[in-house]
Amino acid sequence: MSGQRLCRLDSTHTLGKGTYKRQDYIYSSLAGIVNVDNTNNKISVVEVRSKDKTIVPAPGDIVTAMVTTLNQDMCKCLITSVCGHELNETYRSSLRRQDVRMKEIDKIDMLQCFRPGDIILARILPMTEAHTFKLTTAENELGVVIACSEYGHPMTPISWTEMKCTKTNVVEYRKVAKIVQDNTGENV
Amino acid sequence: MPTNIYRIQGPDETIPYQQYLINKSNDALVDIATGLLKDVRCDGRDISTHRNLCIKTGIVTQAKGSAYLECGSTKLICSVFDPKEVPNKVEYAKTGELQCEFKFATFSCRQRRGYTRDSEERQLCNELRRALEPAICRGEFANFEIHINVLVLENDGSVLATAITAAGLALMDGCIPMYDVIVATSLGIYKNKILVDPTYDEEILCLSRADDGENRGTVMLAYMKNLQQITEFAQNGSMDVNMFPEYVQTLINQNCKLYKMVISAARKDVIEYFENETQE
Repeated sequence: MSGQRLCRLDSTHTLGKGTYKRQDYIYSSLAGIVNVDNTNNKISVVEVRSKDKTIVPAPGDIVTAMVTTLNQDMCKCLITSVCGHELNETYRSSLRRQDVRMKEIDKIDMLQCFRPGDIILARILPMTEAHTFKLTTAENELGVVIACSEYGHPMTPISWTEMKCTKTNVVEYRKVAKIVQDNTGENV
Repeated sequence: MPTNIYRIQGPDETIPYQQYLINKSNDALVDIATGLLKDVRCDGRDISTHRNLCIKTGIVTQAKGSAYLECGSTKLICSVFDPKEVPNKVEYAKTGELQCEFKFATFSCRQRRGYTRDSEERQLCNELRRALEPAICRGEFANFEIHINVLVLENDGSVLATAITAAGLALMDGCIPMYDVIVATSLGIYKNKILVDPTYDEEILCLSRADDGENRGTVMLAYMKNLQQITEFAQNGSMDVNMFPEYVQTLINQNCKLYKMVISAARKDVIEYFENETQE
Protein backbone atom coordinates (compact mmCIF):
# COMPACT_ATOMS: atom_id res chain seq x y z
CA MET A 1 0.00 0.00 0.00
CA SER A 2 1.11 3.54 -0.64
CA GLY A 3 2.50 5.16 2.44
CA GLN A 4 3.16 1.95 4.27
CA ARG A 5 6.44 1.72 6.12
CA LEU A 6 8.45 -1.20 4.80
CA CYS A 7 11.75 -1.28 6.63
CA ARG A 8 14.70 0.75 7.82
CA LEU A 9 16.95 2.38 5.29
CA ASP A 10 20.47 1.30 6.24
CA SER A 11 23.63 -0.03 4.66
CA THR A 12 22.02 -3.37 3.80
CA HIS A 13 18.74 -2.10 2.35
CA THR A 14 18.36 0.34 -0.47
CA LEU A 15 15.52 1.93 -2.38
CA GLY A 16 14.05 0.15 -5.37
CA LYS A 17 11.19 0.99 -7.65
CA GLY A 18 7.93 2.07 -6.09
CA THR A 19 9.46 3.21 -2.83
CA TYR A 20 10.56 6.46 -1.26
CA LYS A 21 12.46 7.31 1.86
CA ARG A 22 11.46 9.47 4.77
CA GLN A 23 13.40 9.82 7.98
CA ASP A 24 15.58 6.72 7.62
CA TYR A 25 12.71 4.44 6.68
CA ILE A 26 11.64 2.99 3.36
CA TYR A 27 8.01 3.66 2.50
CA SER A 28 5.98 2.27 -0.34
CA SER A 29 4.60 4.63 -2.95
CA LEU A 30 2.56 2.10 -4.91
CA ALA A 31 0.03 -0.60 -4.16
CA GLY A 32 1.58 -3.94 -4.91
CA ILE A 33 3.73 -6.77 -3.62
CA VAL A 34 7.00 -6.20 -1.83
CA ASN A 35 9.95 -7.87 -3.46
CA VAL A 36 13.36 -7.98 -1.83
CA ASP A 37 16.13 -8.56 -4.31
CA ASN A 38 19.16 -10.26 -2.78
CA THR A 39 21.18 -10.86 -5.94
CA ASN A 40 23.86 -8.48 -4.79
CA ASN A 41 24.72 -10.21 -1.53
CA LYS A 42 25.73 -7.07 0.31
CA ILE A 43 22.86 -4.74 -0.41
CA SER A 44 19.30 -5.92 -0.86
CA VAL A 45 17.01 -3.79 -2.97
CA VAL A 46 13.53 -3.33 -1.59
CA GLU A 47 11.01 -2.69 -4.34
CA VAL A 48 7.25 -2.80 -4.75
CA ARG A 49 5.89 -4.58 -7.77
CA SER A 50 2.54 -3.31 -8.94
CA LYS A 51 0.27 -4.23 -11.78
CA ASP A 52 1.26 -1.35 -13.99
CA LYS A 53 4.04 1.16 -14.21
CA THR A 54 4.00 4.88 -14.66
CA ILE A 55 7.03 5.66 -16.73
CA VAL A 56 8.06 8.86 -18.35
CA PRO A 57 11.16 9.05 -20.53
CA ALA A 58 14.21 10.23 -18.62
CA PRO A 59 17.68 11.25 -19.84
CA GLY A 60 19.88 8.25 -20.57
CA ASP A 61 17.03 5.88 -21.39
CA ILE A 62 16.98 3.96 -24.64
CA VAL A 63 13.69 4.63 -26.37
CA THR A 64 11.87 3.44 -29.44
CA ALA A 65 10.54 6.26 -31.54
CA MET A 66 8.82 6.76 -34.85
CA VAL A 67 10.05 9.43 -37.24
CA THR A 68 7.24 11.79 -38.17
CA THR A 69 8.73 14.76 -39.98
CA LEU A 70 12.11 15.39 -41.47
CA ASN A 71 14.11 18.41 -42.60
CA GLN A 72 17.75 19.28 -43.27
CA ASP A 73 18.67 20.05 -39.67
CA MET A 74 16.58 17.76 -37.53
CA CYS A 75 13.80 15.25 -37.52
CA LYS A 76 10.86 15.02 -35.20
CA CYS A 77 9.90 11.75 -33.57
CA LEU A 78 7.25 10.30 -31.33
CA ILE A 79 8.50 8.18 -28.47
CA THR A 80 6.44 5.01 -28.22
CA SER A 81 8.28 2.95 -25.63
CA VAL A 82 10.96 3.37 -23.00
CA CYS A 83 13.44 0.63 -22.04
CA GLY A 84 11.18 -2.04 -23.53
CA HIS A 85 8.12 -0.82 -21.66
CA GLU A 86 5.39 0.30 -23.98
CA LEU A 87 3.80 3.64 -23.23
CA ASN A 88 0.14 4.49 -23.52
CA GLU A 89 0.98 8.03 -24.46
CA THR A 90 3.41 9.20 -27.10
CA TYR A 91 5.86 11.96 -26.32
CA ARG A 92 7.29 14.37 -28.82
CA SER A 93 11.03 14.47 -29.30
CA SER A 94 13.54 15.71 -31.80
CA LEU A 95 16.82 14.46 -33.20
CA ARG A 96 19.27 17.02 -34.44
CA ARG A 97 21.65 16.53 -37.35
CA GLN A 98 24.80 16.59 -35.23
CA ASP A 99 23.48 13.76 -33.04
CA VAL A 100 22.86 11.27 -35.83
CA ARG A 101 26.29 9.60 -35.79
CA MET A 102 29.64 9.94 -34.14
CA LYS A 103 31.93 10.59 -37.10
CA GLU A 104 31.80 12.89 -40.11
CA ILE A 105 29.11 15.05 -38.62
CA ASP A 106 29.53 17.69 -41.36
CA LYS A 107 28.76 15.27 -44.15
CA ILE A 108 25.47 14.02 -42.75
CA ASP A 109 22.50 14.35 -45.02
CA MET A 110 19.36 13.78 -42.98
CA LEU A 111 17.51 12.40 -46.00
CA GLN A 112 20.11 9.66 -46.26
CA CYS A 113 19.67 8.68 -42.65
CA PHE A 114 15.96 8.59 -41.89
CA ARG A 115 12.61 8.69 -43.59
CA PRO A 116 9.22 9.40 -42.05
CA GLY A 117 7.67 6.23 -40.73
CA ASP A 118 10.97 4.61 -39.70
CA ILE A 119 11.18 3.02 -36.29
CA ILE A 120 14.40 4.02 -34.58
CA LEU A 121 16.20 3.20 -31.39
CA ALA A 122 17.70 6.22 -29.72
CA ARG A 123 19.05 7.45 -26.43
CA ILE A 124 17.68 10.51 -24.65
CA LEU A 125 20.16 13.31 -24.16
CA PRO A 126 20.26 15.29 -20.92
CA MET A 127 17.50 17.88 -20.89
CA THR A 128 18.56 21.40 -21.69
CA GLU A 129 16.23 24.34 -21.50
CA ALA A 130 13.52 23.27 -23.89
CA HIS A 131 10.79 20.89 -22.84
CA THR A 132 11.00 18.45 -25.75
CA PHE A 133 13.28 15.47 -25.48
CA LYS A 134 16.50 15.52 -27.48
CA LEU A 135 17.51 12.17 -28.93
CA THR A 136 20.81 10.85 -30.18
CA THR A 137 21.67 7.88 -32.36
CA ALA A 138 25.42 8.41 -32.14
CA GLU A 139 26.13 4.81 -31.17
CA ASN A 140 26.55 1.73 -33.29
CA GLU A 141 23.62 0.01 -31.65
CA LEU A 142 21.28 2.94 -32.24
CA GLY A 143 19.54 3.95 -35.43
CA VAL A 144 16.88 2.63 -37.76
CA VAL A 145 15.52 -0.80 -36.84
CA ILE A 146 12.39 -1.15 -38.94
CA ALA A 147 11.92 0.68 -42.19
CA CYS A 148 9.86 0.40 -45.34
CA SER A 149 11.09 1.22 -48.81
CA GLU A 150 9.49 3.74 -51.12
CA TYR A 151 7.24 1.03 -52.46
CA GLY A 152 6.02 0.08 -49.02
CA HIS A 153 7.85 -3.18 -48.49
CA PRO A 154 9.94 -3.95 -45.43
CA MET A 155 13.68 -3.65 -45.80
CA THR A 156 16.60 -5.56 -44.38
CA PRO A 157 19.93 -4.00 -43.49
CA ILE A 158 22.90 -4.82 -45.68
CA SER A 159 25.49 -2.45 -44.24
CA TRP A 160 25.53 0.28 -41.61
CA THR A 161 24.39 2.88 -44.12
CA GLU A 162 22.23 0.88 -46.48
CA MET A 163 19.08 -1.17 -46.39
CA LYS A 164 17.66 -3.35 -49.11
CA CYS A 165 14.03 -3.85 -49.94
CA THR A 166 12.84 -7.42 -49.64
CA LYS A 167 10.55 -7.23 -52.68
CA THR A 168 12.09 -4.84 -55.16
CA ASN A 169 15.75 -5.11 -54.10
CA VAL A 170 16.11 -1.36 -54.19
CA VAL A 171 18.89 -0.12 -51.93
CA GLU A 172 18.07 2.88 -49.78
CA TYR A 173 20.27 4.83 -47.38
CA ARG A 174 19.63 4.75 -43.66
CA LYS A 175 21.56 5.12 -40.41
CA VAL A 176 21.17 1.47 -39.56
CA ALA A 177 21.32 0.17 -36.01
CA LYS A 178 23.56 -2.78 -35.32
CA ILE A 179 21.04 -5.04 -33.66
CA VAL A 180 22.34 -6.56 -30.47
CA GLN A 181 20.43 -9.32 -28.81
CA ASP A 182 19.26 -8.60 -25.31
CA ASN A 183 18.84 -4.96 -26.12
CA THR A 184 16.20 -3.63 -23.78
CA GLY A 185 14.47 -1.50 -26.35
CA GLU A 186 14.23 -4.20 -28.96
CA ASN A 187 11.05 -6.07 -28.16
CA VAL A 188 8.80 -3.71 -30.06
CA MET B 1 -24.26 31.48 -19.12
CA PRO B 2 -23.48 30.71 -22.74
CA THR B 3 -26.22 28.57 -24.17
CA ASN B 4 -26.04 26.05 -26.90
CA ILE B 5 -28.55 26.94 -29.57
CA TYR B 6 -28.67 23.36 -30.83
CA ARG B 7 -30.17 22.14 -27.60
CA ILE B 8 -33.81 22.63 -26.88
CA GLN B 9 -34.06 25.23 -24.17
CA GLY B 10 -37.79 25.04 -23.58
CA PRO B 11 -40.24 27.90 -23.91
CA ASP B 12 -39.23 31.33 -22.65
CA GLU B 13 -41.88 31.76 -20.02
CA THR B 14 -41.31 28.75 -17.86
CA ILE B 15 -40.98 28.45 -14.13
CA PRO B 16 -38.86 25.64 -12.72
CA TYR B 17 -41.08 23.21 -10.92
CA GLN B 18 -38.88 23.49 -7.84
CA GLN B 19 -40.50 26.86 -7.21
CA TYR B 20 -43.71 25.09 -6.32
CA LEU B 21 -41.93 22.75 -3.97
CA ILE B 22 -40.24 25.37 -1.81
CA ASN B 23 -42.84 25.09 0.92
CA LYS B 24 -42.61 21.34 0.88
CA SER B 25 -38.83 21.29 1.05
CA ASN B 26 -38.89 23.82 3.85
CA ASP B 27 -41.19 21.52 5.77
CA ALA B 28 -38.77 18.69 5.19
CA LEU B 29 -35.89 20.78 6.50
CA VAL B 30 -37.85 21.68 9.61
CA ASP B 31 -38.52 17.97 10.14
CA ILE B 32 -34.81 17.20 9.90
CA ALA B 33 -33.97 20.05 12.27
CA THR B 34 -36.41 18.89 14.92
CA GLY B 35 -35.14 15.36 14.49
CA LEU B 36 -31.56 16.48 14.97
CA LEU B 37 -32.37 18.15 18.24
CA LYS B 38 -33.39 14.71 19.45
CA ASP B 39 -30.21 13.19 17.96
CA VAL B 40 -32.17 11.38 15.27
CA ARG B 41 -31.10 11.68 11.67
CA CYS B 42 -33.44 11.49 8.71
CA ASP B 43 -31.90 8.27 7.39
CA GLY B 44 -31.84 6.56 10.76
CA ARG B 45 -28.09 6.77 11.20
CA ASP B 46 -26.29 7.55 14.38
CA ILE B 47 -25.04 11.12 14.53
CA SER B 48 -21.42 10.07 14.15
CA THR B 49 -21.70 7.25 11.64
CA HIS B 50 -20.47 7.41 8.11
CA ARG B 51 -22.75 6.21 5.34
CA ASN B 52 -22.04 2.85 3.77
CA LEU B 53 -19.48 2.79 1.01
CA CYS B 54 -19.36 0.87 -2.23
CA ILE B 55 -15.91 0.85 -3.81
CA LYS B 56 -15.07 -0.44 -7.24
CA THR B 57 -11.84 0.22 -9.10
CA GLY B 58 -10.78 -0.15 -12.69
CA ILE B 59 -14.16 0.48 -14.27
CA VAL B 60 -13.11 2.98 -16.94
CA THR B 61 -11.13 0.89 -19.39
CA GLN B 62 -9.75 3.85 -21.32
CA ALA B 63 -8.22 5.41 -18.25
CA LYS B 64 -5.05 4.35 -16.52
CA GLY B 65 -6.80 4.13 -13.21
CA SER B 66 -10.35 4.67 -12.16
CA ALA B 67 -12.64 4.26 -9.21
CA TYR B 68 -16.37 4.29 -8.64
CA LEU B 69 -17.40 5.30 -5.19
CA GLU B 70 -20.82 5.23 -3.70
CA CYS B 71 -21.38 6.82 -0.33
CA GLY B 72 -25.01 6.46 0.57
CA SER B 73 -26.64 7.84 -2.55
CA THR B 74 -23.74 10.09 -3.50
CA LYS B 75 -22.27 8.37 -6.52
CA LEU B 76 -19.27 9.41 -8.52
CA ILE B 77 -16.64 8.17 -10.93
CA CYS B 78 -13.04 9.29 -10.88
CA SER B 79 -10.58 8.50 -13.64
CA VAL B 80 -6.86 9.17 -13.86
CA PHE B 81 -4.84 9.36 -17.05
CA ASP B 82 -1.19 8.93 -17.99
CA PRO B 83 1.28 11.77 -17.67
CA LYS B 84 0.92 13.99 -20.68
CA GLU B 85 3.04 16.71 -22.14
CA VAL B 86 1.94 20.16 -21.16
CA PRO B 87 0.96 21.99 -24.33
CA ASN B 88 2.30 25.52 -24.95
CA LYS B 89 4.80 25.43 -22.18
CA VAL B 90 8.06 27.30 -22.31
CA GLU B 91 10.04 26.79 -19.15
CA TYR B 92 11.02 23.58 -17.45
CA ALA B 93 9.14 22.60 -14.30
CA LYS B 94 10.72 20.40 -11.67
CA THR B 95 7.47 18.92 -10.43
CA GLY B 96 4.60 17.54 -12.41
CA GLU B 97 1.27 19.26 -12.54
CA LEU B 98 -2.21 18.07 -11.78
CA GLN B 99 -5.03 18.91 -14.08
CA CYS B 100 -8.36 18.29 -12.40
CA GLU B 101 -11.81 18.37 -13.81
CA PHE B 102 -14.81 18.23 -11.57
CA LYS B 103 -18.14 17.79 -13.30
CA PHE B 104 -21.65 17.31 -12.07
CA ALA B 105 -23.69 15.25 -14.47
CA THR B 106 -26.67 17.26 -15.67
CA PHE B 107 -29.04 14.90 -13.88
CA SER B 108 -27.00 14.62 -10.69
CA CYS B 109 -28.64 17.30 -8.58
CA ARG B 110 -32.17 18.29 -7.65
CA GLN B 111 -31.98 21.16 -10.06
CA ARG B 112 -30.73 20.33 -13.53
CA ARG B 113 -27.11 21.31 -14.12
CA GLY B 114 -25.73 23.02 -17.18
CA TYR B 115 -23.30 21.43 -19.59
CA THR B 116 -20.73 24.16 -19.16
CA ARG B 117 -18.55 24.50 -16.11
CA ASP B 118 -19.99 26.73 -13.46
CA SER B 119 -18.30 28.47 -10.56
CA GLU B 120 -19.12 25.77 -8.00
CA GLU B 121 -17.48 23.13 -10.16
CA ARG B 122 -14.45 25.33 -10.64
CA GLN B 123 -14.19 25.87 -6.90
CA LEU B 124 -14.49 22.15 -6.13
CA CYS B 125 -11.95 21.40 -8.84
CA ASN B 126 -9.40 23.72 -7.23
CA GLU B 127 -10.02 22.22 -3.81
CA LEU B 128 -9.60 18.73 -5.21
CA ARG B 129 -6.31 19.69 -6.83
CA ARG B 130 -4.99 21.27 -3.66
CA ALA B 131 -5.94 18.19 -1.67
CA LEU B 132 -4.22 15.76 -4.02
CA GLU B 133 -1.05 17.66 -4.85
CA PRO B 134 0.82 16.88 -1.60
CA ALA B 135 -0.02 13.19 -1.85
CA ILE B 136 1.45 12.51 -5.29
CA CYS B 137 5.18 12.07 -5.86
CA ARG B 138 5.23 14.85 -8.41
CA GLY B 139 9.00 14.78 -8.74
CA GLU B 140 8.79 11.48 -10.60
CA PHE B 141 7.11 12.94 -13.62
CA ALA B 142 8.70 16.34 -13.89
CA ASN B 143 7.40 18.60 -16.62
CA PHE B 144 4.31 16.49 -17.27
CA GLU B 145 0.74 16.78 -16.18
CA ILE B 146 -1.68 14.16 -14.92
CA HIS B 147 -5.34 14.47 -15.72
CA ILE B 148 -7.87 13.62 -13.06
CA ASN B 149 -11.52 13.68 -14.01
CA VAL B 150 -14.35 13.43 -11.53
CA LEU B 151 -17.91 12.95 -12.68
CA VAL B 152 -20.65 13.15 -10.10
CA LEU B 153 -23.56 10.92 -11.02
CA GLU B 154 -25.69 11.69 -8.01
CA ASN B 155 -25.19 14.41 -5.48
CA ASP B 156 -26.43 13.58 -2.01
CA GLY B 157 -24.07 15.62 0.11
CA SER B 158 -20.34 15.40 0.96
CA VAL B 159 -19.41 15.42 -2.75
CA LEU B 160 -15.95 16.88 -2.31
CA ALA B 161 -14.94 14.48 0.45
CA THR B 162 -16.18 11.51 -1.58
CA ALA B 163 -14.40 12.83 -4.66
CA ILE B 164 -11.08 13.11 -2.85
CA THR B 165 -11.36 9.57 -1.49
CA ALA B 166 -12.28 8.29 -4.95
CA ALA B 167 -9.39 10.15 -6.53
CA GLY B 168 -7.02 8.57 -4.03
CA LEU B 169 -8.33 5.14 -4.99
CA ALA B 170 -8.12 5.89 -8.70
CA LEU B 171 -4.53 7.09 -8.37
CA MET B 172 -3.67 3.91 -6.52
CA ASP B 173 -5.40 1.85 -9.19
CA GLY B 174 -3.45 3.69 -11.87
CA CYS B 175 -0.16 2.92 -10.08
CA ILE B 176 0.82 6.54 -9.85
CA PRO B 177 3.45 6.95 -7.15
CA MET B 178 1.95 8.48 -4.03
CA TYR B 179 3.34 9.33 -0.64
CA ASP B 180 0.26 8.05 1.10
CA VAL B 181 -3.33 7.00 0.64
CA ILE B 182 -5.58 10.00 0.89
CA VAL B 183 -9.06 10.00 2.39
CA ALA B 184 -11.47 12.79 3.24
CA THR B 185 -14.60 13.23 5.31
CA SER B 186 -16.95 16.12 5.83
CA LEU B 187 -18.95 17.28 8.80
CA GLY B 188 -22.12 19.25 9.03
CA ILE B 189 -22.45 21.59 11.98
CA TYR B 190 -25.90 22.51 13.20
CA LYS B 191 -26.40 24.13 16.58
CA ASN B 192 -23.41 22.41 18.21
CA LYS B 193 -24.45 19.07 16.79
CA ILE B 194 -21.71 17.47 14.71
CA LEU B 195 -23.11 15.43 11.85
CA VAL B 196 -20.63 13.12 10.20
CA ASP B 197 -21.00 12.76 6.43
CA PRO B 198 -24.08 14.97 5.94
CA THR B 199 -26.61 14.26 3.23
CA TYR B 200 -27.75 16.88 0.74
CA ASP B 201 -30.70 17.95 2.89
CA GLU B 202 -28.58 18.16 5.98
CA GLU B 203 -26.01 20.21 4.08
CA ILE B 204 -28.71 22.66 2.99
CA LEU B 205 -29.91 22.88 6.55
CA CYS B 206 -26.39 23.46 7.86
CA LEU B 207 -25.72 26.13 5.25
CA SER B 208 -28.98 27.97 5.82
CA ARG B 209 -28.62 31.39 7.35
CA ALA B 210 -28.17 31.59 11.10
CA ASP B 211 -29.43 34.75 12.69
CA ASP B 212 -28.40 34.42 16.29
CA GLY B 213 -24.71 33.71 15.83
CA GLU B 214 -25.00 29.98 16.36
CA ASN B 215 -22.62 27.53 14.71
CA ARG B 216 -23.76 26.46 11.32
CA GLY B 217 -21.83 25.19 8.34
CA THR B 218 -19.84 22.36 6.87
CA VAL B 219 -16.19 21.45 7.24
CA MET B 220 -14.20 19.05 5.10
CA LEU B 221 -10.77 17.62 5.81
CA ALA B 222 -8.48 15.51 3.63
CA TYR B 223 -5.95 13.51 5.57
CA MET B 224 -2.97 11.23 5.01
CA LYS B 225 -2.96 8.77 7.86
CA ASN B 226 0.56 7.41 7.77
CA LEU B 227 2.20 10.77 7.34
CA GLN B 228 -0.30 12.37 9.70
CA GLN B 229 -0.69 15.30 7.39
CA ILE B 230 -3.74 17.34 6.59
CA THR B 231 -3.69 18.16 2.91
CA GLU B 232 -6.82 20.22 2.62
CA PHE B 233 -9.29 21.84 4.94
CA ALA B 234 -12.42 23.52 3.68
CA GLN B 235 -14.98 25.35 5.75
CA ASN B 236 -18.30 26.81 4.81
CA GLY B 237 -20.67 28.78 6.99
CA SER B 238 -20.07 30.54 10.28
CA MET B 239 -18.78 28.83 13.37
CA ASP B 240 -16.83 29.50 16.51
CA VAL B 241 -13.05 29.29 16.21
CA ASN B 242 -12.77 27.54 19.57
CA MET B 243 -14.78 24.64 18.25
CA PHE B 244 -12.27 23.84 15.50
CA PRO B 245 -10.00 21.50 17.48
CA GLU B 246 -13.02 19.36 18.25
CA TYR B 247 -14.10 19.31 14.61
CA VAL B 248 -10.62 18.46 13.37
CA GLN B 249 -10.26 15.66 15.90
CA THR B 250 -13.62 14.17 14.89
CA LEU B 251 -12.66 14.40 11.25
CA ILE B 252 -9.30 12.74 11.81
CA ASN B 253 -10.92 9.89 13.73
CA GLN B 254 -13.47 9.42 10.96
CA ASN B 255 -10.71 9.50 8.33
CA CYS B 256 -8.82 6.77 10.16
CA LYS B 257 -11.92 4.58 10.01
CA LEU B 258 -12.38 5.39 6.35
CA TYR B 259 -8.72 4.67 5.68
CA LYS B 260 -9.12 1.10 6.90
CA MET B 261 -12.01 0.53 4.50
CA VAL B 262 -10.16 2.05 1.55
CA ILE B 263 -7.04 0.06 2.32
CA SER B 264 -8.92 -3.22 2.57
CA ALA B 265 -10.58 -2.56 -0.80
CA ALA B 266 -7.26 -1.70 -2.41
CA ARG B 267 -5.58 -4.72 -0.87
CA LYS B 268 -8.28 -6.97 -2.27
CA ASP B 269 -7.65 -5.56 -5.75
CA VAL B 270 -3.92 -6.18 -5.51
CA ILE B 271 -4.37 -9.74 -4.26
CA GLU B 272 -6.90 -10.46 -6.99
CA TYR B 273 -4.57 -9.13 -9.66
CA PHE B 274 -1.55 -11.12 -8.52
CA GLU B 275 -3.61 -14.29 -8.13
CA ASN B 276 -4.83 -13.96 -11.71
CA GLU B 277 -1.29 -13.35 -12.85
CA THR B 278 0.10 -16.46 -11.20
CA GLN B 279 -2.69 -18.55 -12.70
CA GLU B 280 -1.74 -17.38 -16.17
